[in-house]
Amino acid sequence: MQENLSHCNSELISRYYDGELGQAERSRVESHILVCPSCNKILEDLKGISDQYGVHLTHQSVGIDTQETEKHVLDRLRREKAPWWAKAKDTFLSKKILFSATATAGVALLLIAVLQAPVPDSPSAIVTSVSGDVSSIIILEAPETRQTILWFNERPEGQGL
Amino acid sequence: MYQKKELEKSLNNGLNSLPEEARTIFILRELEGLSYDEIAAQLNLRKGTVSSRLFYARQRLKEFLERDQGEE
Repeated sequence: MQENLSHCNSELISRYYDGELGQAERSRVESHILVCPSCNKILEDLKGISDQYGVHLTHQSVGIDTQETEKHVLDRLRREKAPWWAKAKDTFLSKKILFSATATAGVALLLIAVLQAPVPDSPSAIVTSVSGDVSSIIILEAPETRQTILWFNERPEGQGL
Repeated sequence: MYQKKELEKSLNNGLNSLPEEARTIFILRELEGLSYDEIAAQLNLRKGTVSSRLFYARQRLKEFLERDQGEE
């Protein structure tokens, strides 16, 4: 003989109503409903909701696009439960990120091309001293632009060191 | 007398008042006739979650319809 339910369980009644219980649980709920007015009322309410929606609503009469709603929820749930690499892939393939990534890659390639431009083998200018007497030379190196700046001071003719 | 058109509007409003996930589960159960296992598989949820969301949806609809139809 099946043991009766020790307390009311609304969700269990709902599962019973939907035929989602096994034989043993179903028997226990059936026995309980016979003697429990509140659970009997819950069952009646569940039937009432199903009857109202079953009779009056069809896919066409429902004011919302059920297929679109289902698709939307399915997509959202799949995204939430997807592994991190799938999320990363989706995020990267979204138009906004893809555009930004492409633009950044383009700028980076341009910079690399500029920085790796061949350094001229010969100087771009040759400075010669008129008197051949130079008192000081300053050499400035600019490694970022790969330029060498040569600044020298030419002593006027007739002046000694 | 609560007219058919008004009743349909009320039922629609009740359905739209539900959170998206609960509404989808309710629709899959009531209109599509899917089992808890089938809904759980489709929505990638646990069966227990389907059961509790469906119960919650029905409770909310019952309360909504009582309130809405009582106001008419």
